[in-house]
Amino acid sequence: MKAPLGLFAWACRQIARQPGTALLTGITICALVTASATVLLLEAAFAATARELLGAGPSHVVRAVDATGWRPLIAGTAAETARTVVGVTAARPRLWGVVRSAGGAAVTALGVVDPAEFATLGQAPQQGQAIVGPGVALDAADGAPRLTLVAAGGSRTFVVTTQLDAASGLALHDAVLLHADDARTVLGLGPEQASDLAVWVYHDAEQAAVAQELAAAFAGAVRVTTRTEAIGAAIAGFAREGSLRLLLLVPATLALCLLLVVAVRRGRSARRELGLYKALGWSTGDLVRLQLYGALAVSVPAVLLGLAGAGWLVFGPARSWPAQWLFAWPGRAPVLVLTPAAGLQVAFGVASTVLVPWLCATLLPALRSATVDPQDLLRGGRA
Amino acid sequence: MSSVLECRQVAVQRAGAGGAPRHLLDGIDLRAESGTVLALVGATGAGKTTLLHTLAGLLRPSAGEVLVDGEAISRWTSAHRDLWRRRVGILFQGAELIDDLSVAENVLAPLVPRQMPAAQKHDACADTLTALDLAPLAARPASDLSGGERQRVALARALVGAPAFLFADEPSAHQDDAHLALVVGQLAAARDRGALVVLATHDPRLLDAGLCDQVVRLVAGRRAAGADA
Repeated sequence: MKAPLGLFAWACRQIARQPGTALLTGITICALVTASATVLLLEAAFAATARELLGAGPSHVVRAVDATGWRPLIAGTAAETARTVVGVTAARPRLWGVVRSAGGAAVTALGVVDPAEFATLGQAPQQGQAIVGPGVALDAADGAPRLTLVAAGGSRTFVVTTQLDAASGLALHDAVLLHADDARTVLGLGPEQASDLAVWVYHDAEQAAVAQELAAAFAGAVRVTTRTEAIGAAIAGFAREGSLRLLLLVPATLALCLLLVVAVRRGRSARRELGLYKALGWSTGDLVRLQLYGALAVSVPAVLLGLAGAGWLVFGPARSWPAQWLFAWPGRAPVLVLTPAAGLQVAFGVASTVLVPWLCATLLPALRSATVDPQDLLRGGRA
Repeated sequence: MSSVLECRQVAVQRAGAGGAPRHLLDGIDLRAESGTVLALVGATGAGKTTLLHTLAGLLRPSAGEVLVDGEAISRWTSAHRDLWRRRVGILFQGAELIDDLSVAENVLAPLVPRQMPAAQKHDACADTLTALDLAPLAARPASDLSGGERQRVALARALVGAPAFLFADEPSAHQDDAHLALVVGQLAAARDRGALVVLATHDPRLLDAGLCDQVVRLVAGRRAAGADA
């Protein structure tokens, strides 16, 4: 004789009596968890990556502006002006801007002003050469890999000496590193000009005060962005995109609500069984535990599978399409980082959002049966 | 330990057609001790099943008291009544099996939440099935059983926990003579180990088996005067 002898085994046996219902419930919970956790994990991972990236960058960025938008700075003059501000430890002109490749994709062109900065990436590019990030699509041509950029004065083609791998991170994902002269040509800058000025300060806590001093130090109109502002803007952008997409979870949430309603309004046969168990000596506590074990046996694997699926979509090989779909990320998605604490927070939040109402709805009939006589339950009465 | 089960002026009412109260039981007094068999007899609708369920704690009386060793179980809280029902074995008139579970699983159901070794649960279940000639059917779904088999499975389920109080509604229903002897033997064994056995029956074969120490006849929800054995 093989029979389930313990309460948990009995709960599993109860599930096996209606495998289709259990399977559908599990799939619904899994899908809901996957969808919501993917959005939240992507959002958290983008935010963490942006924070890490910008955290390692300059504390301020100074850009010259006029009525039409930003305009180039005179590199040497701007750096000297910034260094006169108290608290500034370094100021470095940067050459960068967004340009189009011949294939039409937007890439970030970066001019190598100081070859020592790029020492970890290998030899700095010479004139006519380019080092490109993992997300940059090269020209479709035989022979040496090449990349054509659509420059202000016509197209320029570069020999690609290195294509960085995915481990190079978010900053270089769609970057094209060029010799400084090439970068100026592609970006339409004059020989002494720079795109902006990166500034480092002694005390990060003085960012706001130094920003005012910097703005006042420049003769023309400039916009000074602090690291805190840049991080905030990046995170807000991701969050806004992700929040809109969360609306797409409405159908899944409705499915969960339907499940909850079905769980609460269980049929006459379920009430009869509760009455039967009570008549056979089961206490209300036993019945609650039975329902709890049964609900957990279905929902915990579903939630774990859903979270694993979300982790795979965000951090696994298939990470590009959810990033493209949810955040309109162009091309292949970059490698994202996430602290264990932030990951656990998302996992715990999503799991509890789904599990708590589901468990409450499942336990409700057993709890309501506490004060009802078994005879009334057996006759299909209120529970 | 000897126990005494008593009814004092027990009445059960239900809302009838048009909302008027319908008296299922009215003014029932009785007393029975452990180690005896009490039979409730009467015509269909006389109130045997309602009284059995009231005594078993499945139903609260509208008036009067059900007492065990002087304590009014009918006034207990739901939690205390849960504990009381753990001392009770119940056989329903319609067997009330769970059709998509096997015979063994149905018999095991009362033991599942109990704190006892799994081997003990297994042995108790196997012994009870064997005693009622159900061992060959152990793995079969309850839905495949005949009426007599279903009733014996329900009796096995009531007996498996060795209850101190056994309430059996029509335990001999659909039984041929050979199986009736098994049923009577198990009821007698329960009585002999000190349980109070309360039967509700129509079956004269059960009354003639020499099993019953006391017979209470019900007529239209009342105890028939001077008609008890």
